[in-house]
Amino acid sequence: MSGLQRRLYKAIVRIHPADFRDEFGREMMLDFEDAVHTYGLGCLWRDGLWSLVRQWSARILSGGPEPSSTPRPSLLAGQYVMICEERLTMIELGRGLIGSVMLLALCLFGLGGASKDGPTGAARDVIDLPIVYVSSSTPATGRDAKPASPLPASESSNSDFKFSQSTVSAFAPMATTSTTLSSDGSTSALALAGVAQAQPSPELLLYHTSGPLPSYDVATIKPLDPNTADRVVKLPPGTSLINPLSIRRYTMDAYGAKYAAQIIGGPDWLNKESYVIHGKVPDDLEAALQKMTSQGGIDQNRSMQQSLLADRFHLKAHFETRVLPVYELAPAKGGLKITEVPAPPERKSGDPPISHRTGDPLSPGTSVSSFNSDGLRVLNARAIKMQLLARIIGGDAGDRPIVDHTGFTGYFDIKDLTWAPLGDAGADSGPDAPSLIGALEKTLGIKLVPAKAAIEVLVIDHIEKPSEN
Amino acid sequence: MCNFHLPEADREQRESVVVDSTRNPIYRFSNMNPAAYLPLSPATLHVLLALTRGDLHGYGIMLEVARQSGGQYKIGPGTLYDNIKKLLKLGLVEEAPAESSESEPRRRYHLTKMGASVLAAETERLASVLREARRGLRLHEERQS
Repeated sequence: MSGLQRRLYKAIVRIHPADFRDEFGREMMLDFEDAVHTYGLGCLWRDGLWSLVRQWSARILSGGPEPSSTPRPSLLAGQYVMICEERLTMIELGRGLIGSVMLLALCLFGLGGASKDGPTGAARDVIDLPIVYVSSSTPATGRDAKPASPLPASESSNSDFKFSQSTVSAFAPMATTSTTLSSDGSTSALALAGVAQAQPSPELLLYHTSGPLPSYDVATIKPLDPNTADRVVKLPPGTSLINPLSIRRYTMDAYGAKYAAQIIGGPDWLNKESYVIHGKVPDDLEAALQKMTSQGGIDQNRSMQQSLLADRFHLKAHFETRVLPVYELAPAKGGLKITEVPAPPERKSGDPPISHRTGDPLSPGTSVSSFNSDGLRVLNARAIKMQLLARIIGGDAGDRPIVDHTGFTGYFDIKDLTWAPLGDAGADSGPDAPSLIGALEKTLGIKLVPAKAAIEVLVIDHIEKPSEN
Repeated sequence: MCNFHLPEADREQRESVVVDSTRNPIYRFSNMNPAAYLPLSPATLHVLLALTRGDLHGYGIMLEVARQSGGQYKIGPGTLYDNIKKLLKLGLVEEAPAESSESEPRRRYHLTKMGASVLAAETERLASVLREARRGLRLHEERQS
């Protein structure tokens, strides 16, 4: 979001009536910042302008600031305005005329600016944070279609608006459907308009399990005192990083979520409280893990984490697929500025883990990112795919995931891709520091394009603080 | 500070969402009749409904409204605070105490007892409307056949 767009919304807030602006202006700006990526600029501007019209209309037509002892105002907010019974004076008519002209000019300016903003512009009729369709059962390569405990289909739908995974699996693309709820709460169909047709790409799917979940022999869950946690985890102030010791992060790991946006719902403590969790892997599984591939080991660990979440945190959740704003990695106009390199050698089970020391050349298939003395982030990589690049830089594009849409399937070296990270980590870098978007285009010949994509998400229905060890 | 990434094992920066829940049990207008506020507009209904989940700040309410309606109904900050202003004035919603640990505390809103009563009354009203609508449709179909 550019400063101009933010300033424009601020201007809309500022020309609200003084009492409303003083009371809610700051909150409106904060909510605008939060919502801009999910709701879109056009919609928020339109909402701001309508609010402006409502507030000033009520003010002008009622002849001044609302007295403190007004009779009960209508709760039909946004649909009716209060009108005084007395006739309007010339002064009031003049104020109304001036206000209307100002609003008209602002509307034209706002809509004109929004229409240039691509998918978030005013041209869209509907903002689409929402669930558009659901089908979490489409298996990705190597993944099972049916989620097992702790996500039984019968328990996965405790809301009238939620989809039951069991009943709408393999949901076919369609324009509009009707809905009824069966007595057990499962959804047989749902009325939706504007149904998207895409399925999530493999990198945007979550990890599903099948059959009984393996569990740790013994697991200890130790809540950290906030003061201790602050010493252990030092997140830069103002950053959008998620606390690595939080249960939200643990849930992300357990379900293979690559982006925070893939875990939805849950209480506040999921983000705020820090836990240290240790699990002892059963001996027989430990031996089996030695023979597994790297991915097999990761999956087993995730399954045990899911089991722990179900047993100790009583997690109940369900999968959904939502269409959410993303950035697509796409070739820039000037063409790709890096050349394809040979694929890295395939790693086998039993291979020693790859290690890296500062100054050593990178092994093929690895990447390293660091912060330089100016606070800029520097990424170097050898023989990595665009998909991995998208994931590495994903945290520095705000709250949108970055998905690879370059069409380049090969492997590439990346040398000194340098940009100012989000948050205060790049505070020393100054206003002229290269942005991620600029660095990608200049160094790699790749651009970030705002878009929408189907993403599989986990919606937390219920979770409790952990039981005592 | 240096992060080392392995293929398929990268864990990078992620978004943090912080929502607080504190309460302020001070109720106003407790002697008023909930039915006097009916009918509620969709926005008001959804805002009150969102706050049944706990104390939320503005963006939390916006997200909760979108979630409750399956994304079919969304409100922006302008519409939200227009409603919040009215609800505060009527005592159906009140401001929850700020969280002292936040460097830049956001205002959170709490559903009062009266607000809950109004929401319950509206739910009853909507239920009776639904019953009437179903009965009317059934009669209509019978007449048609």
